[in-house]
Amino acid sequence: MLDKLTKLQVIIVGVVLSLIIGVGMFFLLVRPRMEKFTQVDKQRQEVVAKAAELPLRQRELEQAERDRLQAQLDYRKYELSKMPEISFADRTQGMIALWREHAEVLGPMLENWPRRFGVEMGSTVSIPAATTNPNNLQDGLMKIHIGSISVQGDFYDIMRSIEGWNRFGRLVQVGPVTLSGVSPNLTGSYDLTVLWFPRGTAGAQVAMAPAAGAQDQQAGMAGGAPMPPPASPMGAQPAPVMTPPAPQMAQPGAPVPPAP
Amino acid sequence: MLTINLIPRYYFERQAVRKLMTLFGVLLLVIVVAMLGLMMQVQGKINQANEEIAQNQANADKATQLEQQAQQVRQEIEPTKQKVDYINAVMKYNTQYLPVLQGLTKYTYRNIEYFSVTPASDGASITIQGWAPSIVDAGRYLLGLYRATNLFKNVSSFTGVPGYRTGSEGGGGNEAGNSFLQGTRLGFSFSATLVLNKPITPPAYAGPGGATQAGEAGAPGGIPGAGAPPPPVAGAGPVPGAEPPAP
Repeated sequence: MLDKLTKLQVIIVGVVLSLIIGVGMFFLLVRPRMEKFTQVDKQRQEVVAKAAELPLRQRELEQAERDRLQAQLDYRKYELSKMPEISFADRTQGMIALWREHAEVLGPMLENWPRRFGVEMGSTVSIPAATTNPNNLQDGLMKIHIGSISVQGDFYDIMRSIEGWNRFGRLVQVGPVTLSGVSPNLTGSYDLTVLWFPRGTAGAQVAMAPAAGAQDQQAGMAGGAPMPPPASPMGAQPAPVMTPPAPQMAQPGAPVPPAP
Repeated sequence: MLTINLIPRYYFERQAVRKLMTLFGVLLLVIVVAMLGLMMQVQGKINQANEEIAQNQANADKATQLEQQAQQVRQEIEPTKQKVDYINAVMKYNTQYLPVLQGLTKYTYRNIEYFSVTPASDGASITIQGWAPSIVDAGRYLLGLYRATNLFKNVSSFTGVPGYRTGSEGGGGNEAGNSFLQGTRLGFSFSATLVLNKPITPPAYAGPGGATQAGEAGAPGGIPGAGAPPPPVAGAGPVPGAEPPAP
């Protein structure tokens, strides 16, 4: 059979065979490995780059720890100097402490503070009562709006007294200052809001009986006070409600009718 | 001498074919060897990369771990930082009006008297109620305010300047202006609204929990005697709209 092959045929067969084997081996053996190498090399670069970040990450962690310490120190400083020591971990105790803060501590502090700067309080301080529901207490920022207060003094004393609120024993937000009067007898008026954060986090909710208002309402529904008319459908007239006449109550100071 | 080649042509043809076949056989062998060599070379690189990965993997994992730890620490301190930032912002806000008021005194003409200086509720401007003994004094005062560019963006309104038998400009007339025209008393009341360069707004707490109003609406006052209405302000100066002091 070989005797019948010509040179041209051998060349053609040889070239085609070489091409098929060369290309086939490249695509079957070499190319998949090259692709895998590309993938592995990319992974290698990532891992090497990540490993090279190790000293940087160590420094970052140290910096984060320092920042944490600094933040805790900063906040602790404010906590000690400007926040009442009230925690809502036990909500009932926290609520009582809050009552005391509202009713006994904060008022005198606020009233006495401006005198340190040579100004006189021109108004009284009133503080709203604290909540009576321990479950209303929250972890976040607590605001006690004091309202508008006025101080009297000369211009510079009033300026110093406003600046002095930043040294007060509680965190106070001073609203825009209105000045009136003729110098040196000026009156400065501004809003005060006491701000504070409770210590720690709030504890579990307190299980309690329905509030007094709810009980009264339930009693009223039972027949004490007249019930409101039921909601009527659209366009329908509400049904008339028969209410028993209320008993006449003697008003304090009113003449008492003679007994029959 | 005549040489006759008696070897037939096909003999040479077969020799050439054999040579070509040998040549192509060698070529195929070279191709196979080259492809196998290339494959092994790439495989060697893959193995080398895998070794390098294995060597650095521990450090890379540690770096990732440290990064996560740092991130966690920063997340943990974020609420505390927000509180500290808020407290600092409140304390800064408390003193932001002081330079404005102190700066205002420097740009106030000496003959001008103020009844009140009232900041707007949005913190963008302040309104001054005052009294000027004459138009010239009011003019000098207004020019002084125009120069206070470090404090105010502009003087948005200046009312109270009297016209001729028309009361005051922009204010719809007032008694002071009329009396100025009638010659019974010098001077007139004015009102100036100055827009601050930068509005002074109270800081907002961005931390968790938001703000809780501690008091209850309508609840009685906490301290004894606190429920009483404030007494009248003693010693306070004239209020806006009141009679200006006699010159």
